[in-house]
Amino acid sequence: MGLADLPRLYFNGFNFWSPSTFNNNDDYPTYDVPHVRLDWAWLRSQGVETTEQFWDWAIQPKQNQPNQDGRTETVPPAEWNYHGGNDSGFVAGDAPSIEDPAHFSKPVDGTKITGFSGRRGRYRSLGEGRRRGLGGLPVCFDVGGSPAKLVDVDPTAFWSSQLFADTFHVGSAAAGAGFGGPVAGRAHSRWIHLSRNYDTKRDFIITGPFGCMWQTALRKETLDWYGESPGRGPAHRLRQVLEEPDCIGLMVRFVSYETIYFQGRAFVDAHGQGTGGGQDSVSLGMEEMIRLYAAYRDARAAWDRGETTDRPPPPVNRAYSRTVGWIAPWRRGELVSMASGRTLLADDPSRPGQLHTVTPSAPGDLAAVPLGPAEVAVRTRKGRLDGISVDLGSAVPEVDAQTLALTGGLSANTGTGAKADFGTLRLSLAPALGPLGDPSTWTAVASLPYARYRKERYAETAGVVDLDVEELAEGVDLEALRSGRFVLSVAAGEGDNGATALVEAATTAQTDDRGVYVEEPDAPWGSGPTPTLTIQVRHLGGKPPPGTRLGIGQYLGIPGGASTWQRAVVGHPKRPAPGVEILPPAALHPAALPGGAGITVDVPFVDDGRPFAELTVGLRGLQPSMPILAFFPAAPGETPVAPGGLSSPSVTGAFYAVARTLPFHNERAVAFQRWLRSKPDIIEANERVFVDVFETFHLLYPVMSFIGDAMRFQGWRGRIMELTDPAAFDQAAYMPVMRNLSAGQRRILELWSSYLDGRPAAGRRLAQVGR
Amino acid sequence: MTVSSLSDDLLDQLRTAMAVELSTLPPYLYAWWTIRSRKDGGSAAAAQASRLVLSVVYEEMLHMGLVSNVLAALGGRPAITDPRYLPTYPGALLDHSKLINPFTVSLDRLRAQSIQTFLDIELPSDQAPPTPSPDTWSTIGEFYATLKAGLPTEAAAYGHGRQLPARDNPGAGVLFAVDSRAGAGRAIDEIMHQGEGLSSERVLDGDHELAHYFKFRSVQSLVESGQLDLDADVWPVVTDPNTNRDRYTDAQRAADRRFSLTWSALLDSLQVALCSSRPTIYGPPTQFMNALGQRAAALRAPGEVPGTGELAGPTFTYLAPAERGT
Repeated sequence: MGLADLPRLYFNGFNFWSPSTFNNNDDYPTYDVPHVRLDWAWLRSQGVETTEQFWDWAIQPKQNQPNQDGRTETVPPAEWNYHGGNDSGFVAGDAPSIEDPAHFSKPVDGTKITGFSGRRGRYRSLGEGRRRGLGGLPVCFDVGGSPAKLVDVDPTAFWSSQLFADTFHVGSAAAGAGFGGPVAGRAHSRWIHLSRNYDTKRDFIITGPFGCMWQTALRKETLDWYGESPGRGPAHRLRQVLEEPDCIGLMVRFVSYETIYFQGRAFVDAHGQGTGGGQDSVSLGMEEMIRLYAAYRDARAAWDRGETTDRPPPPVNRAYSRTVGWIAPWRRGELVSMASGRTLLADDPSRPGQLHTVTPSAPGDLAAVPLGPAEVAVRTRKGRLDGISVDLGSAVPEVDAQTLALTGGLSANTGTGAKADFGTLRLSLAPALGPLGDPSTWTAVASLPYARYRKERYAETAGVVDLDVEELAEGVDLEALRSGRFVLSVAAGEGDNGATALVEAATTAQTDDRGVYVEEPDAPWGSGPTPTLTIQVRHLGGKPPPGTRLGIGQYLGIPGGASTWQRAVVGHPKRPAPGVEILPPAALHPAALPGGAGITVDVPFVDDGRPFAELTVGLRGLQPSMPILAFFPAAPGETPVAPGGLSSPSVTGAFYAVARTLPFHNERAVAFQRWLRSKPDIIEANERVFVDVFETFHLLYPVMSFIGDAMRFQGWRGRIMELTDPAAFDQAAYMPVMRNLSAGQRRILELWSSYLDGRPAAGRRLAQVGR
Repeated sequence: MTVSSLSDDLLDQLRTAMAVELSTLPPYLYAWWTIRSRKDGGSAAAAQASRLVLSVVYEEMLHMGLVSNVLAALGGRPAITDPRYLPTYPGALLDHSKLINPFTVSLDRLRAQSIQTFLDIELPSDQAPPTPSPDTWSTIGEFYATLKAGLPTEAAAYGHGRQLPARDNPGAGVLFAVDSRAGAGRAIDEIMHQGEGLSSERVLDGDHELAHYFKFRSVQSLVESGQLDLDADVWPVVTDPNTNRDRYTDAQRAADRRFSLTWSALLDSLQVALCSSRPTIYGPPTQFMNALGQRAAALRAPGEVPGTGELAGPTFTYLAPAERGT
């Protein structure tokens, strides 16, 4: 299953990210995120009264708050990618198309299939041109359609990022090789590793040193295979596995790391130095962007006036990450978007909120850091132990960033991208429950010398290490592997388990409903189905025992809190009010978490042969907000406990979903319907809908400037109705791209469209929004 | 029923209907582009006039789409770029009567004369002389009434598909698929009601708005009341650019050529889109349509047309592929 399943196909290359950044400025309360509206009272205090003043203000140089080093940076309110449209995906061929190559660059190389591990786990490289082996074929999302979109459930929270893609492809029909099909669901930023890169050469800014994992899947019934079945080789092997009844498709997992910003000729100074790294890089990059924003504004205005013949290209300032990934069989019961194997985390079970840290042995001057999450999967064949696979794709940090060739003859970064050397990593088994105990009592499972996770090996197998039975410690069997908790430690010497780096979360609680959208309840015209959250619970990779409980705690930003990354549990004095009401089925024996922070429920035990338990709760919106719903599994006899707060280090290792309670506009929709009964002229109706529904998007997102006024809004009516349809919510082309149109606003659109049709304003029942 | 068994006259009438709808767009757009926006110093009344004219433009597009759906349902193909159906300015609407309610359509800035022409185009039938036109048709309403009467009654005639979807409609009203005589009749009724209204007494079109004729009367009222200042609110663009084009400077000619290339590409892309198995105007037709406004602005930018004291406007010339160069 997943990681434990072979054959496995590997790819390697780059991601591109083009979020629109004006909605997530950390320094100015420009935008009231929960209510999706501009804070005009505050803007007026800045001298901003009109639309034109707002757009000018967006690109003015401003000094932001001092960072943790006490330095301020120059950042315009619109931030680093005002003209982004949230398009994201893999760099491959023409993707992304660079609008302004005189100023901006992208990686020269694309993302391609590079290797393969067969049913026995033997890796082999797949060279270019060996089409039968799929080698060299490009990897991409959404060929020919709307590009995949990067959308944060909460625009201020990188741990809530989602990728909305329609399709995933290796190769193409035109090339006559490869495969592709619709994705089975969104991918989410998982296993975020804030210490992913030591950045010893100071190459990184913003989220540059972070890393995170993404996963999605393709259902076999909708997979297309391009070209003839080759009869042998990787494509043939994958197709063979897909014939098996419990194989439901292919899963795709990839890791993004070494993210760079401000790449292109525009950011190279007279000395040939780029602004992508170093102490003042943010300011230098932002200052150049401010110049480019202003130049574009002026050039665009001149073009609109007909004074120039060539339409100026918008300054789209994409970020790029390295990526490694793999594709493997996807089995029944596995989640679409998350690993279903056994998860090892840096969280220290004996010190809640604290992380294990380890120090590399080489280079010798590096600090202790937490490793990122890892997954261990036990492979079996015909009921017997066949080996172990360890996904270290997100775990081990690099020392610095590897030099990267960019278009325009440029390059980024200055290092080798070597993995920090923690020596031999030891995989052991500790007791399944309770304290880990003395490491000397742990059962040795396997050793992973540096050669198994060094950069070159990492690039080949995306950090996955396959161990044969022969490579496991003597005496390790299936029973032992099922009865203990995996621990990964950094060995101080032979036979020594040394420092603990990662510990298996004995009981995991994961969901594909990582981003769940909740509307204002009780809409007078009829609400859609109650949004739900389905959580899969596993214990040591299998079904949790009867009596297991699950706590669901609710966390929101602290009112008036200093950090945009701090979240506090609801219910305690002076803590935020909840954003959603959690609606558990009575059969799960719900009870309150201490302090009203959430609920606890039974994890139902059903003897169905599945290696997991599953439960579903409903959600009801209480106020526009973006609460984190964190899951706290507890062993039989234990009580789930929700910590008082989640900060960025601990949230990334937590089990959680992020709910988005959308703005409450039901009353506005009712008022609009009442107003329509007065039979206003359509031009008036257009004006009102433009303001009620679209104006915030129009002001914040330059990519929407083609809909510049109420009449043009009408002109795009058909597409607007189509792309804001809740049924299209998971499609890459859905509007608004930030997925923050409320049910009330959609209702207004439906009423308006009916009115323009000359029909009574009826609208239809809303489909369920999101998952 | 096969296409060949349908009357050639009917298919020709439908192509003529598309040509009539298409031929209203250049004069309306030409006038619309001459109205100064608020950004360019236009008044609130100018903004109101702009919205009114644009709403008519959108609905003419809807009408063209509706006729296209009737034509496609009957198995006919449009002939948008066929020289027989291409509009020329100044000139009469295709097959329009030379005896009753005759008028010449010019490309003209928004002014009293052009507004009067627009009123002539959209004249309700009950304001025209009561006798049928002895030559062709005198009002669009009369034209469509004749066309509607000639629609075949056999259900089998309407099964040819290739319908523009409802979402392709930029205007008020419904762009619906036609698959029956009733549907075809309803499409024609929608065009008639939006154009000239239900009657002189019933100025609304059934879609909660004024019919075209009364929208232009509203624009006329803005002028007559002095709210819309035709000097201050309107760019002084030449009338009938085709007759003035030899005065254009090289820069103005180049800008006009760029405009005509885009206009030509728009018509070509419409012809291709409407003949495809799954027609849609999103994609190239929309892109070219949206590019026209900037191309028109580019004609104003170089300054006055020598000897006229006026700015240049686009000629809306369809360039055959051989005339386009590289």
